[in-house]
Amino acid sequence: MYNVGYLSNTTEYQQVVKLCRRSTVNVCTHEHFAYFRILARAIHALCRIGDELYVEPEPARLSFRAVSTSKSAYASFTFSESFFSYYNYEQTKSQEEDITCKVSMKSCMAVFRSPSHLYKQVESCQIRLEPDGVKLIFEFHCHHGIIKTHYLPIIECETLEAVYSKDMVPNQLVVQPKLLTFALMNFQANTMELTLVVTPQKMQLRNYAEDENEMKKTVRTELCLEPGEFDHYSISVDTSITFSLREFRALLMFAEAFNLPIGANFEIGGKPVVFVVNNAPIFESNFVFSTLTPLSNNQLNTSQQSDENAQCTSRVMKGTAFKKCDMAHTPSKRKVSPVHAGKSSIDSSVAVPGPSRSHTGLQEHHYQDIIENVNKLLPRFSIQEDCVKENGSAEDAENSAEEDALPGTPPPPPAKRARYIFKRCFQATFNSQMLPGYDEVIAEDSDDESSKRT
Amino acid sequence: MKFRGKIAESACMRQFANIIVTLARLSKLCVVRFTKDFIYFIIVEENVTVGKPMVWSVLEQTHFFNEYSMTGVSEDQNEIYLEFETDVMAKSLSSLRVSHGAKSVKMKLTNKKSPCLTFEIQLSELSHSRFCVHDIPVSVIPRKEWTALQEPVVPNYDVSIQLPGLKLIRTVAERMKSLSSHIVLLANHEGALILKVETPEATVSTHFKNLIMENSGGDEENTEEFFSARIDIRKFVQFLTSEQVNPSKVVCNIVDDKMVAMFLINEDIIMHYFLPAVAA
Repeated sequence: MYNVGYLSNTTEYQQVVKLCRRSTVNVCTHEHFAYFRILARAIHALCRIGDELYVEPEPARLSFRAVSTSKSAYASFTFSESFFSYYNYEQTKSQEEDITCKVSMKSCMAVFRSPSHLYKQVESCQIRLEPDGVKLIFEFHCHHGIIKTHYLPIIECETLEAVYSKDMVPNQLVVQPKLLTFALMNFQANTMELTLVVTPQKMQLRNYAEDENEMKKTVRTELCLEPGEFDHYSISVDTSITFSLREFRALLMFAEAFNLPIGANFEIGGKPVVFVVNNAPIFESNFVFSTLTPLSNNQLNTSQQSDENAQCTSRVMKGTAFKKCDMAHTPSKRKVSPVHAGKSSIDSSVAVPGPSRSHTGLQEHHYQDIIENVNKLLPRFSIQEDCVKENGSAEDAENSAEEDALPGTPPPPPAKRARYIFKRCFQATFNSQMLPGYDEVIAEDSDDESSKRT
Repeated sequence: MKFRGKIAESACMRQFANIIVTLARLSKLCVVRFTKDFIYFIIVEENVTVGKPMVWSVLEQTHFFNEYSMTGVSEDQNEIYLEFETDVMAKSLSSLRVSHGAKSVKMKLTNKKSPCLTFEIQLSELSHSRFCVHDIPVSVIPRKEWTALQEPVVPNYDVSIQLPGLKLIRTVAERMKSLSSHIVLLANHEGALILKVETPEATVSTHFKNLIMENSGGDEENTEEFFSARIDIRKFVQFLTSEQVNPSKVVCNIVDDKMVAMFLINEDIIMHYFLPAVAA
């Protein structure tokens, strides 16, 4: 079914088979260059989302994922077996769980950098994860028999998983990318965020800025689209969602390159929006963006900050998850905060204590509501680690239990938040003489005391 | 103060947008002056010649607008002066430059948190109509500053010569840009024009002959005598990009050693561009 048809020479075939036996994952994109282009553009889109590329092979599919540093945007491309001309996935006995790895996005971009060369020269691409798990290998098979092999060092072995709801949301649309590109042309190039205001009768696109003063000075653009322009338009809950345009443009570029319709699934402002671009069954991509929570007094603000909530602990194994589990070093604990529906930004919350008492009261109340709602359908971006230990499964269960028990801790009232933000002001003045060993001289002055410069 | 206008012809919409794009290339800020019959775009270069406009362009509103109504600051001064950001407006009106991009555009002076020039564009599409609204913040210029924005006094030019073709001149001038930061324009009454760049190593000049003279009147004594002015090359090239407005003719006027004034003339717009001469 999935043969190594691209090789004609028998000795090469044998060589590949040997490789297959040694490595645990070995896939190759279909001969037709279009497939390689899809992969290359997927990587390009992911590089505009996050700084690290998560590669996750599974028995019947291969996923590439990325998340932004602020955890407000997440993207995942999943290629099924049918995308590849051969798909070889072997799980060696020592591993109980899937092999995943994480590479630096910079290295990926170095590999996929020059589109003109890539699209013209490369015929197919072989992706391999070696058994020792130190490198991710991209082998480009180009014209004239040239083979370019790129070795990307693996940073760590971790999974990136987001929990989000795609199908059970009340608002779903499908739209052609050309329409959105055309719509965005009317907005200034430096627009950072886009607001979609939806009702069953129409959709409004607006640019948005957090600061009201800023909005006064910039041009405000509003564009209306009718339901008839969409391939599918089903709005059950009137709402307005605001998300970052930068990552959205990455998704739009990808969809437009292949003329694929974009699906949007969302509920209300404050909850994440999921964009889907797929060409079932060969691949599917999901882009999850957090949206800003609109306040009823028209002052848009963020929902609770992620650092105030419970933190999900996870363990990290450096690099060599593919080895057998009798490794000497102990895993290190690392705290990762889960992502929530709102963007977390400290500076916008400082704006909150400004207004009068009545406003703060309203916001507090609003926060309570948000937490209760958000806990139900959060995208929880949890970093789960591979555990190679025998008691791995038990610890994993403990981990997920901790995650599920995300407490509905109400955010501290503004006064307390101010204390948190300005906490250094409340601490004792730093005095270097308070540090232990301050009088211990490790290296004497080279110059004499007497010959000090005036 | 009130202003309301509507442009419904696609050629007019395109030309209007082209004018804004051209202005955007010349300066970031521009003043628009609305009167009953005319619209003026004025760009003032503050640091070069105080209070003297660098660009002065006039449009006859009837050539553009299907509907036009305005009420100025007062009865005897029935005019409105606004300052706006050109690049922002150019981007907002970009849909007007695409063929079949828009059906009509309404322009209004509004007050949405601050004074704005609101453009309501009806984007055309076969079966669906889409509206796009842009609120561009503007600042209203008070009456006391109006004197600085008056029509510049046109001096007696020594020579007025028609340029052969903006594209051609632009190609030549752009090449010369890499050689020096100033260019010398010379023209005489015989229809000869020279673009000259001088560097310590070389002098490069391009000669045009048999150009049409504008009636500058006066003496025909010394028709071979050249009148010249040395101007900033970047500003000169910036002006040359205004070929987008599709002028029917461009006239170059030189006052010897003092200034160059470029007049871009079209049936619906006249654009004056003043460049002071810079000493060598």
